[in-house]
Amino acid sequence: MPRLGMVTECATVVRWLAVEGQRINAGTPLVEVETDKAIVEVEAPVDGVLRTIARNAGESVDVGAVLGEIAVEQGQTGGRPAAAPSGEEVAQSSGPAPKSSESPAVSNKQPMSSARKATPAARRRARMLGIDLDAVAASGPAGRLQLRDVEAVTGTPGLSGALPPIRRAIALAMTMSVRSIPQFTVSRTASLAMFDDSKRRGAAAYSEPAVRPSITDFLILAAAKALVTHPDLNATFHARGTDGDGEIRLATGTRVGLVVAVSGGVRVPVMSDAEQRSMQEVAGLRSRLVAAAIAGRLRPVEMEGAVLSISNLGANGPDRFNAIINPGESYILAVGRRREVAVVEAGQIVIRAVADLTLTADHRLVDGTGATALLNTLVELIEGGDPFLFNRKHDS
Amino acid sequence: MTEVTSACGYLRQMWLIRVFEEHVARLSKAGEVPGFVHLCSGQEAVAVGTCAALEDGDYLFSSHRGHGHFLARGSDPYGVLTEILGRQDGLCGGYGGSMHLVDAQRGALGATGVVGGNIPLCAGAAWAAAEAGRGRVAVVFFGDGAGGSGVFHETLNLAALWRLPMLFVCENNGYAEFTSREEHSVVKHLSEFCAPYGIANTVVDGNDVLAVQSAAAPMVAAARGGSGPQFLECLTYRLSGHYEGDSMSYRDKAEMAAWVARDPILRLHRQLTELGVEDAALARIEADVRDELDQVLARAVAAVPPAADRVLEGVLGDLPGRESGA
Amino acid sequence: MDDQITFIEAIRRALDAEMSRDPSVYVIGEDVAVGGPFGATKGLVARHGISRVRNTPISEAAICGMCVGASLCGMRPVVEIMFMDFLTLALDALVNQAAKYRHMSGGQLSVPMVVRTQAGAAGGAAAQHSQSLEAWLLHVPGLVVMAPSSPVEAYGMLRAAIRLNDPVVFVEHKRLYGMRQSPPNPDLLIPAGRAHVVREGTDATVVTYSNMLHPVLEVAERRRQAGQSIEVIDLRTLAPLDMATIVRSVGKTHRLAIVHEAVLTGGIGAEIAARIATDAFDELDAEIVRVGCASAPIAFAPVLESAVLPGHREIDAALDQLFR
Repeated sequence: MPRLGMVTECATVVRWLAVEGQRINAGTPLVEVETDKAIVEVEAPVDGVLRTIARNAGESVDVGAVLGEIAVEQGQTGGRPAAAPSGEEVAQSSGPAPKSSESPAVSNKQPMSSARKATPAARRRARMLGIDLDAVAASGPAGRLQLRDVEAVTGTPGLSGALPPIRRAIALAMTMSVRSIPQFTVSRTASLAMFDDSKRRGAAAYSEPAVRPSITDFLILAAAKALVTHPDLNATFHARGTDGDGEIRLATGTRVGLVVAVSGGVRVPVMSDAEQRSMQEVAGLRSRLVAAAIAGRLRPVEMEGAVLSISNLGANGPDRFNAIINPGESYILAVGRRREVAVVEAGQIVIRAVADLTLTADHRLVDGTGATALLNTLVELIEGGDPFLFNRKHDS
Repeated sequence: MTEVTSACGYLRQMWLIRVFEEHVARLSKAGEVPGFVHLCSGQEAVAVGTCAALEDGDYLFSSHRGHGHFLARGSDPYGVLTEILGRQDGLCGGYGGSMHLVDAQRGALGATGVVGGNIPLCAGAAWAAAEAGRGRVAVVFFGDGAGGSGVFHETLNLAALWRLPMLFVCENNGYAEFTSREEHSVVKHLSEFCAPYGIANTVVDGNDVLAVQSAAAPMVAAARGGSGPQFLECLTYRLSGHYEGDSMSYRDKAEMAAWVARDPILRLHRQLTELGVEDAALARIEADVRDELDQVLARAVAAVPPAADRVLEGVLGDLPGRESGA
Repeated sequence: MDDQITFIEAIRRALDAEMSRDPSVYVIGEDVAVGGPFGATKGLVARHGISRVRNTPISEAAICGMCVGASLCGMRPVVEIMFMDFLTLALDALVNQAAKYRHMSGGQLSVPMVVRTQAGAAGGAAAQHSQSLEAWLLHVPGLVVMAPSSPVEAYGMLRAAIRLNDPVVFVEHKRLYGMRQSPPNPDLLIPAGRAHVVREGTDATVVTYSNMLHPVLEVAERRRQAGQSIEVIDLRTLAPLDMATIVRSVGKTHRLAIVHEAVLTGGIGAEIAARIATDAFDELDAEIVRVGCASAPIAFAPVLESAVLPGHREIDAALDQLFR
């Protein structure tokens, strides 16, 4: 594990980018590690074969400790010594078989008792709150996880009564949004019939439950497509001063955010260019982003730049609600709960599953007409069962 | 009490101690006695003669070889034996054992396995007795090995300085553990240490109970009367080893034979016969003692051990915080 | 008008009070009849008579043994052993006799004696007159060990010690002898066996006793101004330990340091640390740190003495470690 900064003493492995037995070239990113500042890639120092992975995803590794072993072939010169052991060096712990690079950094199936260094008090607090220690960033000496780290994740106030970081961030953001963005809402009730239908038809194709597309994936895809359909609305307003003046900047590509509930608050991971992905891809990416959000492991690039975010309060949520735009964005789509209502179709009363969609828009950027247009496109995509939604050309 | 009556009383007590120690020896060989046991067989006259000079309320401190002192002072043989066997009915509930007998109600305030360790305790008891002003004295028994201990000399000094009402009784059997006197002391008799401290002292034949009593009585009276500490040296011999199991290879056979001939019980037998007591009467004394102790023995070996779950109690008295984990 | 009294005067008053109240209380030791080497017994002869305040020869073994014997017979002796270093000479009486009597006799007897002794480094007293040996005594079941941190504490605690029916070693720190305080209420009695939370806090617990209470409090106050809330516990009684108070505190603060002048190795702090690591393991949010004297005799030259003794700097460093 190389030293990555003056202060960093240890890091946590996020994921391996190669598998044991894989041939690698010097300079190839081998593993992602997270320090207290950022997620960085550690490159292979030499050509060779990745013989052993010593630290797996979620495990912490001190600077200077063995991350893995590379078998250097005869006749090749060694590279930088940092992670290039001689054949005699023994990995500190030969871990289990490496997880696939697609697996999330955090799995809810891991046992609570973790190999990480954590104080007894921190362990007990995590146990009581049902928090996976691997999901908590450590701030103590030499990577030791302390009470305050668990408290930061849970939002439990520290002993001094101060706001935990996540609550504070939300408080600041929402206050700024309400103060600086004149926002209004438009709503429609969308029928979920087509969604249910496509889901049924596509069910056979999706074997892994975790990546079975949900209404959220549908909405992400639909939102991205809607933004593409209205390129003039795929923009953000940048204020100059406080009296409402500023400029509009059009976005390139689509960036759709998803409001994820975490302990103590929310985080908003962002997905780019969802309209170019298949439903399965979106579902898989959505799943990883949600996990990373819960674990507090989102990369900066995954947290910024959304134009529209989606907030779904789930099956037990309200029928409808008005969400507040995240600062820096232009829209937020509040998704009410799925419910069954009686509707009139072709002169008949039928029972349909519906959900209310409420779009909050930045009035500096768009008027009621524009917001309605965007919302209508969204609803048409959801109700229309556009076959584009089932584009499988990216399926692996 | 006539001379004969009291002498018969002494005989009975010496038999009590003798037979008692025989039982303990047998039990020890049979593995019934936990730990170390030190028998005083052959030294009975010292205990009996000295205790005969004491009154109720006087204090007594004993040595590791102390069964005889307690029996001579009147302790219940059953309580002493069960204590030696480590049973709940023992004088100390099984908590003290052979070397740490205590019979507080008889003023027998302790024995110790630390040679000479309770000599200063006796001085303290004498000090308390003097201050209480009820005329009590304190007596401490120790062997000649205690002369090597620093605290022995410190106590002689202090007792003399403060004129403490105490009696030092040295059971000089010529051996300190396995070392003969010649090797462990420059003086033949510990009483030779008394002169520098100005302590009244006497050397007596420790195997003649009448002689011991005759020597002890005036000394006890003198101490009680405020004359200060007194030192009685009793020359005697132990018939058994330093402890049961000691093979006594360090002792000269002829030396032993000479002392066996001077057995204190035999001595008193002869003296009582000279005073006109019939053999039958003397034999009955022994027989009665044997009968009594046979019953004591039977009860004692059947007695239950102390309850182990109470062992942490009684370490300290008043404190609320018996600390967690103590 | 300065009506403050010194620590040594508080001791004297405690002895006087108990001797007045209970005729079985006696005071002996080297030079006590003339007031004692430190003045603790000044004036007592005049008030209580020459037989109750008595000089002894330099015979620590015998005089402690005598106290044991006397307390078996209804007396309550208080013996002064001039330097705790000399307790070594009296250990047979204390350890093999005094500590054992109640238990060994099956409860027939107990030993209500007090050994007052002076411990600690005082600047140039050197290795044989500077020790703090209380940890040895904690190791012997049957002994009570108390260590007051101030004049008022000393007064109340000594009176309680004299009234206890078990042997007490009362450890007075030389450097506290000149400490001044307003006189205590004459009826003050501070019972043995309970620690005292001197200062409440929420971020860390510091357990200490005797002279080290004062630098600990000073450091705690400095840190309060920097935003750290330190709870300070004065043990008062070192044996038996009041672990309940310490456990309760650690349950609140999750951080523990133990500070004493005595040598670190095998010290009272080591016992407390081990117990907390067992009995309050899940409360701990940091390793337990201890502050004590380094493992060397306390040498003569002042610079050598201060090099091994703990002080403000070491207490600060310990707290820094706790809060890493």
